[in-house]
Amino acid sequence: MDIKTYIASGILEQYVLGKLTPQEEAEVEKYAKQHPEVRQELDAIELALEEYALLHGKPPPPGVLSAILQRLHAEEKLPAKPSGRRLRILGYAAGLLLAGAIAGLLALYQINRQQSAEITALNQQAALALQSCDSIQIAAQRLENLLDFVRQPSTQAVVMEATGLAADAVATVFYNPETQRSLIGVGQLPAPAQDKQYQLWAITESGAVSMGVFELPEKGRPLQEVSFVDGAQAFAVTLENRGGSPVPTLGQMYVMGERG
Amino acid sequence: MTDTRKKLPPHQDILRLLQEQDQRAITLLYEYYSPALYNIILQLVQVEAVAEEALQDAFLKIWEKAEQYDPEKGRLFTWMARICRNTAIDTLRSGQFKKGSKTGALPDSVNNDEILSQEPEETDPGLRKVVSKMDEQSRKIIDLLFFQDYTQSEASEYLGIPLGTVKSRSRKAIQSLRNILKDEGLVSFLLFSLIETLRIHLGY
Repeated sequence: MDIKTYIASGILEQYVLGKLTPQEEAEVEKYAKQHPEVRQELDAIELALEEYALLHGKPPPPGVLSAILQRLHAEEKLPAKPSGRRLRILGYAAGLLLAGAIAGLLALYQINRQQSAEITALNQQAALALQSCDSIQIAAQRLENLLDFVRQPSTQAVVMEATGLAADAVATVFYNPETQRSLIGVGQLPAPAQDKQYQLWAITESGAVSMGVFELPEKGRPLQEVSFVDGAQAFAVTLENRGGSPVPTLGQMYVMGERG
Repeated sequence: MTDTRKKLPPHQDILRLLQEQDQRAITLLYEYYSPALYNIILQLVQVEAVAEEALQDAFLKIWEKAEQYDPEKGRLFTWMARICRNTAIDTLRSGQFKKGSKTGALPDSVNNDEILSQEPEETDPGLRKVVSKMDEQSRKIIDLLFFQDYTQSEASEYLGIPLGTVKSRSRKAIQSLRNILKDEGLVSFLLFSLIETLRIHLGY
């Protein structure tokens, strides 16, 4: 077919106006591909009608665009193709980030809790250490105090020796008439029965005066305070019923020593 | 060929965005083309509220069918205009709104003629100039075929002239339209018209 006749037939106008059957449209498209003149003519017709339509333009009432965009969102037609995929990937990424952040926070929280627990434990340990430190200091001070007392020139050490009930029995009384203070240091005494207790006596001009009962020394407390009795000439230890006795049981005297 | 396609600056950008399914495409298309497309729909459905609804539907279809658009087959506007026309006709068919002219009620189509020939002429200097240079016959045939979506035989029946005359006259009409638009420095008109449209639409 002659192209000029084809163009002049008016079929291209009908094509642009959308008046052709699909078959006729396919034919026009085929010719447009084969013949640049047809393509050019189509373009010119389209452009003319487009410009005519634009000149006739009448702005739609306000709010139509936002209604369209809202419907696009509502019908979820926006996340459809590549950009949609991108959006979804972004969504997943955001989700992952969020999950990661939450996991991180949980981990931090856990670590924080652990650390808090550890800090509490350490605080307790520190308190304990301080306590034992205190008690050690107290013990040290007490020992120092005892040592001071023992070293004082006015303190006399009176060693009491075994009387025969127990061969290796020995104990020492530290006696200071100036400061009116007295201590007993047990070297060696047999362990008493549950209902028995050792009692220290001061032998004075008016007889035996009790200086109190005492236990066998605990570790770290080698010296024990005992009641001071003025004018003691000698000291003796008897084994008495628990709680002590008003008078010494002479048959149970384990050690004895005279003031020099 | 490519010259004509580049006459509208935003065309290529909009097309790219549309085919990338970027939502900005809809906004840009709306800014540039909604007055023209709205008018095409309004000429067919006649009722503003109905035209508004149909315009929304048409834009959603433009969005959904974006990948079906083939630039090799024609201009984007031609494609969109066809979607708008079909949407308007679907609306008329589905609703109680009847297209008067197509069901044979001539007074409606006379009304249509008045709407499209009078209203814009008074407001748009570019349009007034173009329309004043077109002969009555050409203007009428284009309006019937383009805006009223008449088939050639319907136009022949309506105008009471033979089908062959409608064919030759429609070609002649579009030819004269092309010449007038070319003479009038079409691009500046168009840009002016677009800027006007934007100004009205966005309220600058």
